[in-house]
Amino acid sequence: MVFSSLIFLFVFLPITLIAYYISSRRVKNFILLIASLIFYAWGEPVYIWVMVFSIIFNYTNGLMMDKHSGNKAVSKAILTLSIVVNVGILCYFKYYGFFIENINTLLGLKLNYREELPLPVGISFYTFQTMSYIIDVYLGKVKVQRNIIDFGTYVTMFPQLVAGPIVKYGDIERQLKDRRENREKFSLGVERFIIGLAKKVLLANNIGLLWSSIKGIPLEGISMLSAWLGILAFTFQIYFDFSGYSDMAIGLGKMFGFDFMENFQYPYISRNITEFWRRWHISLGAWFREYVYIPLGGNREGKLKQYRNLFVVWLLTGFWHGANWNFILWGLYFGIVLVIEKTFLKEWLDSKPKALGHIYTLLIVIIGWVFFESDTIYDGLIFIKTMFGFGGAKLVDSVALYYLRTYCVSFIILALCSTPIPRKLKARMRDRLIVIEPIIIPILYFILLFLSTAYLVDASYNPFLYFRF
Amino acid sequence: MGRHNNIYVNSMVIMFICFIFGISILHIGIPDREFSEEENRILEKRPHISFNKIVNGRFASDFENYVSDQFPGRNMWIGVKSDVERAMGKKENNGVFLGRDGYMFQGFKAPDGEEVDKKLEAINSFAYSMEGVNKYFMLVPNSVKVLEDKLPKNAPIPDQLMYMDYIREGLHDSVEFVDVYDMLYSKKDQYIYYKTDHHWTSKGAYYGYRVLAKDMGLIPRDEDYFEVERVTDEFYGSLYSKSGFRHIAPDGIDIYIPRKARDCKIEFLDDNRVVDSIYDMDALKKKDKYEIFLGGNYPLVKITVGNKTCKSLLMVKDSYANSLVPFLMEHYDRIYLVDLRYFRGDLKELIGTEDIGDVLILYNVITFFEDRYIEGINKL
Repeated sequence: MVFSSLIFLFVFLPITLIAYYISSRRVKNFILLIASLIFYAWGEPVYIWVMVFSIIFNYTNGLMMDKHSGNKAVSKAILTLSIVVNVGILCYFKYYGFFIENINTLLGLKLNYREELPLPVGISFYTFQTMSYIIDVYLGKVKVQRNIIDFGTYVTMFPQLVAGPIVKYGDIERQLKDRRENREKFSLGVERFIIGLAKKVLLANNIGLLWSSIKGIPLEGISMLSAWLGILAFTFQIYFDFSGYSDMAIGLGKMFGFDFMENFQYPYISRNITEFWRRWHISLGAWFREYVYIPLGGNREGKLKQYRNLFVVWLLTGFWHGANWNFILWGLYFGIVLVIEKTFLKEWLDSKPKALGHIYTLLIVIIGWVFFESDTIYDGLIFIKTMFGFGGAKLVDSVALYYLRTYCVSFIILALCSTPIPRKLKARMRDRLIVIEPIIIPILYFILLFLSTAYLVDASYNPFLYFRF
Repeated sequence: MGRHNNIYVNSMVIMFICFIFGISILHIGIPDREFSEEENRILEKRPHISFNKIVNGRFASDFENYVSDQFPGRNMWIGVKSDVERAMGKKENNGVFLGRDGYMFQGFKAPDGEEVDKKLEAINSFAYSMEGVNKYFMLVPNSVKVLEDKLPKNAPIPDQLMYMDYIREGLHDSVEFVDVYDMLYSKKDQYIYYKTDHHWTSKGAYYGYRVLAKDMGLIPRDEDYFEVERVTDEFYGSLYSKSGFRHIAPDGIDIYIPRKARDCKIEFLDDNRVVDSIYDMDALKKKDKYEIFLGGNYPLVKITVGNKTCKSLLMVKDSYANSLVPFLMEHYDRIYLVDLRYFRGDLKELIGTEDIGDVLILYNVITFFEDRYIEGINKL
């Protein structure tokens, strides 16, 4: 199930809220666990077993590790086993086809594999969560969880199950036992949820249409302006889609009394790539930092090792996004840019006018998205050639003008919403007039919720007109 | 501050709770509808629950369809969405373009070359095997081409003329290509296409008939041979439904009735129904009022007219033909209408046993390029 659906908003959420709030504190986690399992199993019931296995396996390992906490060797063996199995499951579902394919091309073999093994929803996210638990238990950073319901609640928690944020066990350990739901928190949750829903349904889905139209044009027939409009559309689409989803997750968390970490902080206003990655998918960066970069030695063992560590992290970051070479390239590309920034570029940019840094960052990010979105690295290169006017593409064509005219207003709104301006505006309005806060702002939120619903209903509008032709 | 904050918190919570619970309660409370006229389809009913359906995920998808199909105020929401889109400057929704003067246009997508060739081949070999019969092929351009100056500026739509020329050139010599584009283009300031529907109007069909008659060697009737009757001013057609755009003026439907009364018999050969008028007045009570012409599309219709011309015509056609048939009835004793999408008989046999002299294949451009059943013209 996804949040941006009628069934979630008007069936699943109301029922879950009622069940959660009428039950006593002792069973609240149990209710959440059941709701999350239903949420997860909806539409793809088979993979529920992968998740149940993951819960029991990691729960047991935690207990065992605790039992043998005195014995370093046994603990380490359990940890190794855990990581191998967790990563193994992830690899099997996500990367199996990719590995076999590459082995085949490399060695000229014809190994068979089941193509299109569907990826279990959220597996990239919850695997990282369970690993954070087991590693932190090993390191003694968190206490072992003896209650399997609480542990299951952590792993399955539906608000962040599908698309993060990746909540580390340590961040939520206390909240699992002891959290307070109240009206303030609930209303904050409502705010965040509606903002996220509107970002996803009103902004991301809409501008996504432009990108898919332009993607549908054969690469040779595309003009420079079309290419830019297209990739800008994708730049906005992925941000509003992903950050909208995180907002909804955080908002829903608050409705059930949880505080999750922030996942996006206006990444497109960054002045360099280092800053960009501190603002984009924060929870993933934090995870890799804590569980890969630092264990490898971080920056404590000299420059050379630091660079190696950075590349490992960025290789994995890229690969985490998808089982394909273009994602690996995309990750390494950022690794290289970050190393260049560390050596001199960042300092140099800081001494220059702010605008330069913004332009530089956006350019690097947008070029990155081209590789992220292209089916092959070759296609990506062709697209970039077109963007920069090499390869004889026309500057402007009528298709580009049509889309420019059609999406002009959307682009202005999207650009504005990528900055903190709307939030500041709201804060200023709030101080200006006493009636605004209790009346006008809820009305604005209501309008967003109302419009999002209209767009969701419309998405299911499916006139059957064949008879009439 | 504290008190106001309190009011704010309460109003946010109440707003959200009322919204999601209110709609759920309405959903449960309002009786389910069976059929949507706007979408012309049967709506999903509440699915039965069973262990198997849950395990294979069918229950989930059925239930989701049920929730969205029976969503309270479904049409209102769709109107809201299209209003917002329009306010944002969008001129396209669901493949329908909103042009000037209240015209909506069905978008045209460039067809796949291989499929076009397959269709041509099928038609040619059909023609080849039909010796001694006059064969005509009429490809009617859509409003998106003829009225293109009413389209939103730079709308990304391929040129239909290019594809029509390709067909004309690819046709076997024994088939005469009837070109109605020039005629329609010269009349583009008249009401020849509906604004909210993808068909041509009776007037458009009349001009098509004039060109066709000339090519077939018939003397076309003048327009004032017919009494033109406006049967409705409340026609919201398929494009209106498909686009979801609201606040659009409806179309009117005119029918052409010969001033001199004549007898005719229309037989729907699939269900042995017989009527005596090609105008189905009951259609005016329905959503799709274009069905006034022959009551819609059927596999095989036989029209008998007391003209004593001793001529017979077979039309292999789509729904554009339905408003053209009234004019052709002036020139034939018998007209057979075949819709390849539903017809499962043998065309050649039909032509032989019914002693047919003229064959007319008539499609509008969009249907011709989208409909794969045409490839079956020779296989049946």
